[in-house]
Order: sequence, then C-alpha cells, then structure tokens
Amino acid sequence: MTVAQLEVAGSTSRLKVESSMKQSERQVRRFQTSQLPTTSLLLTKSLYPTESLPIITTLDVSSGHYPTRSSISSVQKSASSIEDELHSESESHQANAKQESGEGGTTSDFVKKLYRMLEETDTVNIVSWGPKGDCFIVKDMNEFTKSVLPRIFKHSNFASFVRQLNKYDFHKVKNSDDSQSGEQSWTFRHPEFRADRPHSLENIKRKVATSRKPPVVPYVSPAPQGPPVEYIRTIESLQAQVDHLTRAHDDMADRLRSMETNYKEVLNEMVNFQRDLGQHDLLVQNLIQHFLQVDQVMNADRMSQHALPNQNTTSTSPFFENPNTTDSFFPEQGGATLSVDDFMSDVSGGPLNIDASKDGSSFSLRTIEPPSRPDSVLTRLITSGMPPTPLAEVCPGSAFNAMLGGAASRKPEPTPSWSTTPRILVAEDDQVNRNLCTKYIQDYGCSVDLAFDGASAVNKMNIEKFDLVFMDTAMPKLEGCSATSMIRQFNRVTPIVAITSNTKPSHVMTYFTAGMNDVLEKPFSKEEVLEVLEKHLSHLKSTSTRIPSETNIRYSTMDKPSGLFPNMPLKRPWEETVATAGNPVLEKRGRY
Amino acid sequence: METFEQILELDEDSESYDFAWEMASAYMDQAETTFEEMEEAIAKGECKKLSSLGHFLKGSSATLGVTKVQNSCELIQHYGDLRDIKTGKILTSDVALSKISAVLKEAKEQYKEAEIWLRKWYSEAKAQGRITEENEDD
Repeated sequence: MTVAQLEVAGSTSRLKVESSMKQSERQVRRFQTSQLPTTSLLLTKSLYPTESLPIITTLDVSSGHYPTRSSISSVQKSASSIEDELHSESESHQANAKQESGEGGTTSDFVKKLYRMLEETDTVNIVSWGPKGDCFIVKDMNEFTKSVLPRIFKHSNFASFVRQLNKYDFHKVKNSDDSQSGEQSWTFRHPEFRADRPHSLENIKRKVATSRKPPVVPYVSPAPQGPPVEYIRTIESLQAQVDHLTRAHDDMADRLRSMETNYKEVLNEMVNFQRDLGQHDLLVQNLIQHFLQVDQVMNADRMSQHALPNQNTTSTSPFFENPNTTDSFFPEQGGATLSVDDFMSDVSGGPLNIDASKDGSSFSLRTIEPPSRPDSVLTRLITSGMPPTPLAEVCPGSAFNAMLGGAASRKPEPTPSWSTTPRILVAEDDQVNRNLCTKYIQDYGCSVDLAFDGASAVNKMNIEKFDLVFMDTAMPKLEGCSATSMIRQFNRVTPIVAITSNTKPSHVMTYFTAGMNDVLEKPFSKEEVLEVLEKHLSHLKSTSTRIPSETNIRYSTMDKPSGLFPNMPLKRPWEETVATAGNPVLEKRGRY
Repeated sequence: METFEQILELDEDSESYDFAWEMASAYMDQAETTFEEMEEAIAKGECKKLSSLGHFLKGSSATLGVTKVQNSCELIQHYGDLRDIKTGKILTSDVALSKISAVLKEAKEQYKEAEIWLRKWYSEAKAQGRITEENEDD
C-alpha cells in the first residue's frame, strides 16, 4: 500500500494503521505531542523531507494505541524550530514528490490536517465546522493558538496559520449573527472545503506560488526544475536590474553633484573674469590716455620746432584754398585772432612771434598735421553744412582756452571741449566739497546733478542717464561703495569716480572692487577734476579737443594774462548753460 | 589758506567773490553744526558717530584749506575708531572720548581763527564791492 493510498484511506476511514517503523516513530511523536503539549514539537531537519505528517494525524485520529514511551527518545533527535516557511516548503516538496511518483491523491497536507483537525471531537469548543459544514470556526483564538496549532501544525503562530489558509484560498468570513463567541471567533471558508465532502479536498490547491527566497533552493533541489527555479531566476534578474538601476542612480547623483560644483566654479570664474576685465579696461583706458598725451606733446614739440617755417609754405592747406571756409572762418575769428596777437606779443614781444600767431586760425590746424584730422574738420566744415559756430568754438576758442591755461576759469567756455554736454552726477553729502566740485565741473562745461547721499545717487542713476559720477565714499544712508555696488547691478558702464580722502592702496582696492573706476583724492584741485573728466569723457570730446590739452601742457606755466578781455561780459559761469557760457568768441559773433 | 586762494581764483572772472563766499559760509555753517553734533555725541558716548563727524568736517576743512581744523578732525576720526594713530594702540571708548574732548576744544579754537580770517576777508571783499550777493552775515 502506497503512502498516498494510505493517506487517502487514513483520511477517509481513519481505521487503517500502518505498522512500519516510521509510522510507529511518528506515533511516538504524536504521543509526545499530545502528552507533552508544552514542549514545542521538535523535528530534525534530516527527518523532515521524508516525514509524512498526515499519517501521524491519521494515527492520531485512530487514537487509542499509543506506543510505549521508550520509543520517544529514539524519535527525539537534534531539533530546530519550525517556521512557517518550512511548513510550506515541506508541503510543496511532498507534493512534488508525489507528483513525481505518478500517484494520485494530491490533497494538500495542510488541507488534510485542517480537515482532520475539524474531525476531532475534543477540540470542538476551540475549533469546529460551521453549522452548515461549509466553513470552519476558530472559536477561541487563544486556546487554538496555544494547544491546537502546536499539535496539528507544529507551531504556535496564529497569524502564520491564517497566512497559510490564505495561501490555500481560504477566506475569512465576517462573523455571522449565530456566531457564539463574538469577537473572538474567526470563520474561514473555502468553496471546496466542506465537512460532508472530504473528496473535494483535492481541489483545494495552493495558490500560484509566490516568490521564494533563494535559501529555499536546497529543499527544492531534488525535484526537477520547477517553477520555483524560474522564479528564482526572475528574482535574480530583477535583483540584478535593481542593483544596476541603483548603481546608475548613484552615478547620476554623483554626476549631478560634480556638475553643480563645476557650475559654481564657472560662476566664480565669470565674476572674477568680469572684474579682471573691468580693471583691464581701465588699464587700457589709462594707456590710451597716456599715449595720446605723449603723442600730443610730441606733436607740440614738432610744431614748435617746425611750425614757423612750415607755416608759410603750407599755404596749400585746404583751409586757405577754400574761400568758403576762410570766409566763414576769418570774420568771426577776427576778434579772437587779434587777442591772440596781443597776447603773444605780450608774452614774447617779438614780431616774428606775432607773425606766427597771426595765423591764429590755422594754429590749431597745424598742430593736427596727421592727415585724418584736418580732413575731418574740413569735411565737417564744407559738407555737413554745420553752422560756423562750432568751428569758431572749436579752433580759436579752444586754442585760447588752452593758452590761457590756469586762467581757464576766466573764460568759462566749455563748449569747445565737448561734442555734447557731459552730464555729471555728484554724490556728496559735504556741502563745501559738493559746491566746489560742482563749480569745477561746470566750469569745464559739464552739467551737474546732485545727490546728497548714496541712496539718492542710486535712485538718480536708475532714473536718468549720466556720463560720469563723482561719488563720495563716506555718505549717510548709503556709503559710496555700497551705492556703487548697487548701481553696478543695473549700470555697468557709467564711470564712477570715488571722491575720498583715504587713498591707501587697500582702500582703493575696495573702491575698485565695488565697481568704481577711478579715485579723486580730497582735497582736489581744479586740474585734478579736469584730468578725471578728460580721462573718462574722452569719447565726448569734439575732434579738436586734443589741441587744448596739448597747448595746455605747453602754456600752463604762463602767466595768467589778466585783463585780456576787458569787455567780456561778467557772468557767473555756473549759472549758465553750456551753450551760452561766456565764450568770448561766441559773444562777439553774437553781435555780428 | 592756500586752498582758499585757489577758490578765490574761481571767482576772478566775475570780479566778485560770491562763489568763494558761498563756499566759506557753507563751511562755517557746517563746522558749527558739526561741532555741536560732536558735543552731543561725546555726551552720549557715541564714538562711531564722532569718527564719521570727524571725517566729514575733515573733508570740508581740507577743501577750504583750513589745515589745522582738518588735522584735528582727522584725530577725532581716528579716536572715534578707538585708534591712537600716534602709538598705534587700541583705545577704550572712555579714553577715546576724553581725547576727543580735548582735541575738539583745540579744533574749535582753530576754527575760530579760520572764521575770523574768513570774515575779515569777507568784509574786505565787500568793501571792494566784490560781494554782490546778499549773504546772511551772522
């Protein structure tokens, strides 16, 4: 009689008794379990695979004949606790084994145990069939866990039992009204699990196996490659994918971090670069300024050496060949030229010099011998149809101005210097300094707007356009450096010159760092203000402005000719607009 | 008063000293106000404010060339920062305040000299008719 048949027989008739040694051993164990319920059932792992638990219960059911206690010790060997997992393992193993042997009766051990448990009469107040036999009720969960579970299922974990039930597709049924023990009771149902139909137990199958853990493999190994192996493979491949993705994700995070770092570095580099560029620009500007000055000095020297002989031979100068220009030029020039004559004769007292300066009109032209310049002046003269005014301003006016040098203030004629009136913002809280600075700047033909503190300077810069800013470093509300930093956020172009009494290199560095372009040390002289204006407003100069600065250099040490223009209208230049500022030439021409 | 001469030059074109006087009177107003503020600050023990007031009057004094006042104001500025520039030491605020009081006294005397000079110059200029504006002469 095969085991399977026996099992079936056992479950149906519960009368057959196997006499094999194994069975008796199990009987002993069964005995032990029932007699010593407090001892948790111990099984050796070696026994486990071949064990046929249902038979034990069969024997149990067919109770009465318990073997002698002597055999207990032979059964009891090394032990280990049995877990839920192992239960299912053993069962599936057994199922596999049975399938392998090609014998029928595939009723699950678990289901059989379950059925047999319900057939027992001594536990009827703990667990029993439902009233209709279509479900079973665990009436006292605590008692069930304590006594029935260890005895039948060899563990004492109710949750595990429920899980097992679920695996076999048993479902917990909500407590019905007739349930005797209320909350404590658990009712489970399976459509095929009925008290009156033990045969249909075969139809109760484990649900499709869920994933198993790799350690299970050894228990399955005797069986041919079944689904578990495939699952394991799937799991392994999934695991590999997860690992791969995790790695990829980590890589990406690293990448991102390094890119963020790079980005920050690039930003810093850009800021530094910008700063360097600003300083570089300044340097270039200074260099250009310097070269221009050197150039002018050289030109001036050359002129002073060769001007006189050249003068007469250069009658080919386009100026003199063009009647239109000379016409428009000389009449207006007259007064001024005369003045020059007077002046020069005063200074040098020689007729030769007078001759030289008699060409006052061409004086400035000669100094600009490089071909481009006379051309451009000429072209402007002839083609652009500009009114004679600018030219008159441009040449003799500026020449005078320059020659008068330190007395420039006498003639507040800024007009020749600028192609358009530069607009200057003076931010200074000290009234004295502000007045002085304003006066100087206005004398040089620039229009001035004032800010009394840093905050209003920022506001004005935001609203209006200026060509240059003089910024005191120590001001209320917002000091100069902070104001400059703020201005630089929306205006990177307009030159800002620090007015400060503190010109230590370290401080000057902070000015430049804040975005200032130059420093004017307090107390400043008029010349220093002019220097700053010329340096930063060179782009606004009219083409002939080189001459005044050149002649300035040469004549600035001259005595100030006083009373040169006795008829000059007495006007306070800072009250004048640039266009009408008391340029003697303009004034005179105005009377024509 | 070298620098002041330079300012006077600015007025030469007009033969009036209006601008120079404007500057001078602005300076005098400023100096007097600043001295008052300094006294207040000393009373309140506000060293930082004293430093900035010193810096402020230093600037305008330098502009007009009132060198003595300028130097005193510079001292006040540094004492206000709790620095003794002569010894390079750091001062406690009490020491600084007492030093400032002393310097302020000097500065006021120095300023008085300058003011007398400026007013004298003003009255001369006015006598010459070179002051055309009606300035408040207090």
